[in-house]
Amino acid sequence: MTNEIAIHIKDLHKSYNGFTAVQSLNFTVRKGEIFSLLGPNGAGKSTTISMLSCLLAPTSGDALLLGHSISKTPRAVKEVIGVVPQEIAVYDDLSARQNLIFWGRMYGLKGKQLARRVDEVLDLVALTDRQHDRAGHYSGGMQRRLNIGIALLHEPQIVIMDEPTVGIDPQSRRKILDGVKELNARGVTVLYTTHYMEEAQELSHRIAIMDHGRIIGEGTHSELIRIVGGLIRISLTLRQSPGNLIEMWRALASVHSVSEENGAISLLVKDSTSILPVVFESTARAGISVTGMDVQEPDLEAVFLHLTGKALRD
Amino acid sequence: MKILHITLKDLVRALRSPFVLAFMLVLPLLQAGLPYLAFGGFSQGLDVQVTRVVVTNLDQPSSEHEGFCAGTLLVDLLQSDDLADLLSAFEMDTAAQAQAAVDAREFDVAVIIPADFTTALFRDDETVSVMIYHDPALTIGPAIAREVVTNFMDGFAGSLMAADVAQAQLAAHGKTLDEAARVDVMRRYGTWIYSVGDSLERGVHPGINYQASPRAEESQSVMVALIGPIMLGMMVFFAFFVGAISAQSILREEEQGTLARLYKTPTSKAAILIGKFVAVAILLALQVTLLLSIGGLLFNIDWGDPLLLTISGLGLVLAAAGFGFMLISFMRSMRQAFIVMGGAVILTSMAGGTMTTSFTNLPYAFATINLFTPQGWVLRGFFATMHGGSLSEVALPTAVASMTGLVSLSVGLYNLNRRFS
Ligand SMILES: Nc1ncnc2c1ncn2[C@@H]1O[C@H](COP(=O)(O)OP(=O)(O)O)[C@@H](O)[C@H]1O
Ligand SMILES: [Mg+2]
Repeated sequence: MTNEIAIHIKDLHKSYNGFTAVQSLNFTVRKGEIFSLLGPNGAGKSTTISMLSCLLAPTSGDALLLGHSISKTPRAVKEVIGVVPQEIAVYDDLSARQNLIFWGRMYGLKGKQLARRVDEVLDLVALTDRQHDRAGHYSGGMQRRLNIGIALLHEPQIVIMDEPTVGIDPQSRRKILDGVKELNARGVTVLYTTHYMEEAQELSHRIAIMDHGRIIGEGTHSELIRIVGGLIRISLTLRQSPGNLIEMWRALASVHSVSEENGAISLLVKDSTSILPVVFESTARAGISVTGMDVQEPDLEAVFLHLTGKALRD
Repeated sequence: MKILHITLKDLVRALRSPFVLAFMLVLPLLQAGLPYLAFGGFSQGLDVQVTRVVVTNLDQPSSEHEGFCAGTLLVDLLQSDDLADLLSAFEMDTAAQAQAAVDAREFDVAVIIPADFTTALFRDDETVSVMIYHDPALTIGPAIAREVVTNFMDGFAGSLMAADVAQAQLAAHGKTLDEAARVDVMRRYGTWIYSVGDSLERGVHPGINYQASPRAEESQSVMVALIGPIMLGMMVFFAFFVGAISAQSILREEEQGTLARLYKTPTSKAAILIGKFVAVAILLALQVTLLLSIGGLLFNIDWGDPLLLTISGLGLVLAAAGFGFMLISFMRSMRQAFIVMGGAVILTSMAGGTMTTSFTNLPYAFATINLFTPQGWVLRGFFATMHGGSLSEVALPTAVASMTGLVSLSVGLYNLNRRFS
């Protein structure tokens, strides 16, 4: 990793007929970095990526990718980036090989170079054996891999991936995550979006947490954890409604915050050893039984909870 | 170059779609071909089955009539080359053999000429009977055999009567016609009937029913005259359909995310859209070429001068491809396109006159309406070509049709270009 900047986003805005999907977006990604945009559905991740890939024009602001402006020189931008769309976008009535040859040509590859890259990518995404089958006959995982492979054909210096692991089995997901690391090891800069905090945590050098079109926190994993300042998260599942217990817990001095979503209660606390007995005592007094409990060291989920007051997961 | 690859990719995908192929070839051919088949347009190609006749001649030359043998004459007639298209006759010695051969289905009909055939004919004996024995499942073959035999015997009786009348006349003048003269009349009759076998084949008597023959040919050409316009109408109708269906690949790619992905590659929007348009146009050119060729080869349609036909064809391709592109550019989704597209193509095609190409005397108002549809202009160009019109008579309507294609293409490109921003 160097200090050279690969992606520089400058005050990017996008609104759809009055609805602001992305606002005041500013961040930089260094060359050789894996940078994740972590946020729940609707946060504005895909909109950001559509602008970076020059599909959507920003309402205002600009972004530079390897120095090329998305608004002034979109074609140069398109040549240096490879984009993996969130939805699988391949021709299901063509084979993997036919797909790769076609998309390779769209990136200006031809002749021997095209053939070589198609073979390499087929190998990379482990589709060599099934390269002549129609993509429509592939499993979801295989289609996802082809979807990724297409973006790598022209050996882009920046690869942008929009939730590439949504809706696939754990094995395929593992392969994809390993593939991203391998790509990065070869010097490729990766901008990765996800709503899985584990993925962001595992892959990224740096993470930006996004919600409602804004970045609400940014830094390395440990920098972000520091935001919650060593707070510990206690997750509770209760059989009955907690009633006024939540208010009571919130009032306790060592409790930082309490949230409740769909019957799952999260408490961010400074010191679990002193709080846990209080929690059990109060539930017992209220005649409420605890059916599940989990104490976690600070993680991105806790950070998100801390910053937004709600859980990251839907 | 990228345009070419986009075009090729779209063509491969379109030709893999059974839906596109159905609208391209199967439906127009069925629509045009069914009436043709119903009117029996193929009969000239499909030969009437030759009736296999076995004949047994038990008749003997009659010494009473100077060795004349009517049975041999009948056998010769049945075996004559002129009847070869209708029946083939094979001789067998006995009636039993002949009947057994029909029973065994080796032959369709047995004709058995009785022993005293000549004598009986000369005596005008009503009781003489040629037996026609046939497979009960057959109708046409036995009827043909019966027709030939009946004609022969009627003619024989007729000429005999003429001879008798002549004899009576001569007797009144104190002269007699000897037996040799009577037999000569019969011989001449034999030669004559043999020589007119050709017209017997058509089941008509020469000189009397000859009119029927040219009329049959005329009705055949009426069929051809009708099938041409019908096929033309169907071709134009389905070309506009295929234009819209194949332009729909834009919506399909939009819904599958591949269009957005294409826009993210360093390929200009113009190249992408034009590549897709060219694919639609090539598909249409393929359709039109195939339908014109099939119409010419299978239905014997005379489409007119090849150069003018090419011009008209190009006009159709451009008009239909542009129309499809424009139509699709107004659609939000495949679902919507499916509903609107069918309606729009059918309405403009009907107003354009593609369904009524075989009607020659439509009200003038109708002829005016079709001027407002690309189909109407396309049809004018083709009609001019088919009716041997001049270059300018073909080029003018074709130019108008092509202009509608270019204008609608521009509208389509404008809409589609604006759509993603
Ligand atoms: N074409 C559009 N028109 C109107 N609103 C849109 C459009 N695309 C996305 N949005 C809205 O913008 C917000 C951000 O969407 P998106 O970028 O897809 O989020 P994410 O990828 O993080 O899930 C959402 O509220 C979404 O409903
Ligand atoms: Mg998204």
